Amino acid sequence: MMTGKLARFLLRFLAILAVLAAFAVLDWYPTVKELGRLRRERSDLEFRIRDYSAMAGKFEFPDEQENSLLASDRGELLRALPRVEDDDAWLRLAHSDLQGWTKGIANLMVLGEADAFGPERPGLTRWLRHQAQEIQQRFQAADPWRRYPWQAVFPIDPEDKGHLASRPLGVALDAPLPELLDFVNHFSWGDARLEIVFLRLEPVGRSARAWLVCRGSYQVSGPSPWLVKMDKGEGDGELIIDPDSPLLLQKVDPLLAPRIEKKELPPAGSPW
Amino acid sequence: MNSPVRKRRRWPFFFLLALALVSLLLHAAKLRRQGDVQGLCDQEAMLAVTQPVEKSKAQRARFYMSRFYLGYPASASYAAADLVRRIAEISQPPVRLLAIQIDLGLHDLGFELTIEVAAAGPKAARRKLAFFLERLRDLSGVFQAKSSPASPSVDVSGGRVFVINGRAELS
Repeated sequence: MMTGKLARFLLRFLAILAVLAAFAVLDWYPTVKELGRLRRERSDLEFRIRDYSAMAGKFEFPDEQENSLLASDRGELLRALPRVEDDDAWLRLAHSDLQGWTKGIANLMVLGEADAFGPERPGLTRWLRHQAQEIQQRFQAADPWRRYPWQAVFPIDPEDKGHLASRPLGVALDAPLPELLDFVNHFSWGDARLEIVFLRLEPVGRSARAWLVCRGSYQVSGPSPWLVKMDKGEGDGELIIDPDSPLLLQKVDPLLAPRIEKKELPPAGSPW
Repeated sequence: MNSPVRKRRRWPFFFLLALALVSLLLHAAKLRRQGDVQGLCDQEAMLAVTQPVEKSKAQRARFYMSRFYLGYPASASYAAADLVRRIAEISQPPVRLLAIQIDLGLHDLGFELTIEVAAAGPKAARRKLAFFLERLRDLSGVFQAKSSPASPSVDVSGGRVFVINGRAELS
């Protein structure tokens, strides 16, 4: 009699536990979990709205003057980028740029590729062959498929006919040091806007020899193996800007922007 | 006689009712919280429409970046040429500049100098090297310069060859 009662009690107790567990597992637990997620989402949204409102309080909204400045800057940027039909046209442009600054330089060699050292220049060619491996490495480092630091600057319109391309170019020269440095300083002043990536220089007696690898960006209308992959953003070495900078809350001030200036080197013997 | 039986039959009903009540309360809280979140989402979307802060910030960021891009080639060329000029000027005997390499970044540049120091012994060479490093660090814009820890090699002319690595600002 007692055993039967105990068994019935145990059975009832287990049934209660089973119903409780079913409610807890199938309904309460998922609902509590969902409540937690919604609470976190709500806090996050509240924080963002508070942050946005605080920022909007300090924010200076653009006026006509600023809008026109931004539009003209965009135009200036696109005009600064050479537009060419193909890569050879850009090479010709770069070559003619460099020829404009060769005063006092007898030995100048433009390397379209890392190992294109011809035609033979006495002294210079042998020195370059000796450094071929290093030159090769520097060409690879300037390859836009490996690293292109200006992706954020050029969100090119896909409907535009021009495509952004960038390619490395080498230059080797042999000249008296002042003329050589003058050439290096004027290197980027032309229409091709060559950016020096790497420079190696060795004084030899009263003269000096140097090779440098540079990068040039341009818009090409034809097919090119040097097109910049715009979707590839490795982040490393790219130009970035702090999105929380207070500078972005104020109207743009051309005086605060990096200056675009071409300076001559001081004459030899100047203080530094 | 019937009352104990009636009691036994009622408690499962109240038990299930209590469980259902807990579920109901939890679901009500969930619905309320979903409403809150939806309201906040709408508020955030409305803020972005009425006060297009992010769009203007992105336009301003692009302005500063494009100005940086436009000025960069000339400032990089000048920085490289000027650094070589200044290093060449301080490389006076007993120090002789053998080679200089400049690796240009967007905000600064790295350089590597190979120099030969003419000295009678290794101690004297180290002393002259330390003096040269001091002069190098005094150049404006140079914020780091140190000689390679490896012991110097002795070249054919008897001078000791050192390698110096450093960084300078891209003025």
